[in-house]
Amino acid sequence: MILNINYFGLVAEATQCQQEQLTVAANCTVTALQQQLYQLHPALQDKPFRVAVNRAFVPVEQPLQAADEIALLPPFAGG
Amino acid sequence: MSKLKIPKKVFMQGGIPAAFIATSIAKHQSKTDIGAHNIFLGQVRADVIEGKTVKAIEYTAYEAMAKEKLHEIRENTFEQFDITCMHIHHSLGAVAAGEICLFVFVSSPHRDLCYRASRHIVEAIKQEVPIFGKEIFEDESHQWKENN
Repeated sequence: MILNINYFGLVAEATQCQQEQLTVAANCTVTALQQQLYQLHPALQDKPFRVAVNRAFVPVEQPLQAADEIALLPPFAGG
Repeated sequence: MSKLKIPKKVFMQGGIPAAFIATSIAKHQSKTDIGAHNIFLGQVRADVIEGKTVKAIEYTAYEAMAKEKLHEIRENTFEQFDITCMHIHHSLGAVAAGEICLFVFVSSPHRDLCYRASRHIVEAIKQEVPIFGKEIFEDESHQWKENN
């Protein structure tokens, strides 16, 4: 399936883009997605970030769905 | 009247001007059930990191999620603290050292709730809202800010 991935902050700086589409396996989990992204963007390997799915942090073994809104979020700095 | 009926506009471009804060205070004069206001202002600090001085922070946000989180913070603050009203404003874009990037304004009949609700809101924003900060140094290099 195809996922839309959104990047922010230092993650967007590492990937050199703010958004991209990725083809992943049908039952791809957050963990599997992260591994795939590390392969695609080696610059991410030493960067701190969490993966949000539909604007929330979910268990990393939860299977993703094609319509999920995915975002890689580096540490927060509000306030 | 529900205090929660519409999501409030939080983000504004650049530093939050002092005049905006003053106007916000003035707008509450008619709410004569209020006896206390607590105002928190976050200001960009000229941190010195490894000999380099921060001249500005550039803020970006995952706005769709940030708006949801801010709404949740508002809801649970009103649930926990019986305050009269609250306002939250945060900057996006570049904010120079010395300028205000966060304005939290809480009002209640008596002061105890104000102090506590204000603290609760500020801590929640720092922990839970996906806002990102690029610290720009005077030599134009940068690093990414991390809340602790």
